Amino acid sequence: MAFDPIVLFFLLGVIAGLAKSDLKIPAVVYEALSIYLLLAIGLKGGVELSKYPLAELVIPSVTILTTVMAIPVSAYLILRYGGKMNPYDAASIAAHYGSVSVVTYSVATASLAEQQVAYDDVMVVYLALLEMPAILLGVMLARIGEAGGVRAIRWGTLTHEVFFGKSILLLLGGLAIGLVAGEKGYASLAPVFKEGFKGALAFFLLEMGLVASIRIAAFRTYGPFLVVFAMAMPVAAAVWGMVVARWLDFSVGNTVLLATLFASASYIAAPAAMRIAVPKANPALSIGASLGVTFPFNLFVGIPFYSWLAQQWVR
Amino acid sequence: MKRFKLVTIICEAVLEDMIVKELDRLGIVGYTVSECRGRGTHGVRTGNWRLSTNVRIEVMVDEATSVAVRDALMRFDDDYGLLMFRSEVEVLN
Repeated sequence: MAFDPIVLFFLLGVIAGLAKSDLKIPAVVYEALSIYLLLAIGLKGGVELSKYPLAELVIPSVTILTTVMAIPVSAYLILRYGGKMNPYDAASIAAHYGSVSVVTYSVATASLAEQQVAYDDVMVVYLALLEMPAILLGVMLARIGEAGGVRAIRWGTLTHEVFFGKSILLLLGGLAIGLVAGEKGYASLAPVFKEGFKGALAFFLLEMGLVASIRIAAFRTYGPFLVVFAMAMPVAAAVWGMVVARWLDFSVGNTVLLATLFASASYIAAPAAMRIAVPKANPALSIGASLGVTFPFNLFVGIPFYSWLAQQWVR
Repeated sequence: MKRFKLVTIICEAVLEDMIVKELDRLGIVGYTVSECRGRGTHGVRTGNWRLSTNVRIEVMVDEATSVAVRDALMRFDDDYGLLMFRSEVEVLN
């Protein structure tokens, strides 16, 4: 199992946080880094997309969007009936796990590059597609038992969030610019957006470590059920992702990336959307599980395991 | 000197847009927003990313409007970290 040294930056952040070091990354730097990462990922995908027959993306996109819904639905049922959680928390956590984490995806691509396993940057299209649908489903699940039900959802605000939220806007915007620019136009942007990428990712992981350290330290308050869920769910989802990738006849690298997308849990887009759309859900539980348990689990155990498993399977 | 009520609202940053909308609806023309952090009944708000950041929204209004602001924002009180207080101020310029 391979292990990319970039995850050590996350570990450093966690140690700094747990040791109450005075290390602090200003919120503006965090914002700037996240804008950079999203644009860089989008651009890279767009450039590859410019050489790609777009019609070939239709069937995989539809298949992936349909099959991924099994994750939030099963997560909701497990948490609601297995974990005896209230419908708001169950739906909110289900939305986090159905959605994806851009940073987890980036670490998986870095790890594949380190192992010299080929993958397509076109996978970014699925990253962009998978971010929001599970969040919308989560909002609906939370409202099913309520007075007014699904009709009471403010669709205007939600759809605005779906298409114009920062992460979708930058990913899709980057894809579109990359698509227009093509390989030639990208060449002059590459020094900033390609060469700088891994360094920026390292900074971002350091900051995520600092933020996550508070959630990691509080893991006892989540209850054993949620902690086990936060480690078992990504593995089950990754295996499901590999099954789907086999159906679609993906390469080893793309199989690892799809498995990682299925396994990852959102901790940026989903928490913000759920805080507004499902205010009765306790954000400490959902962010605690996704950022405090699942994110480090995927970084240190999940991604190496998924890439090992995919290589056994696809070979 | 003109006397006003200064209403200070300290709340989760995600509420900012919704609160500003309420202020607009009440016809309030000016307000000031600053980001902040601290500790309260919802635990420590570290301010190191958006979800743990607070904002402080300040508006100067007459007494009747200050009551209207309170009434409009009470619906957020159950589910979000929210603190509202009112003080007497005099405008100097």
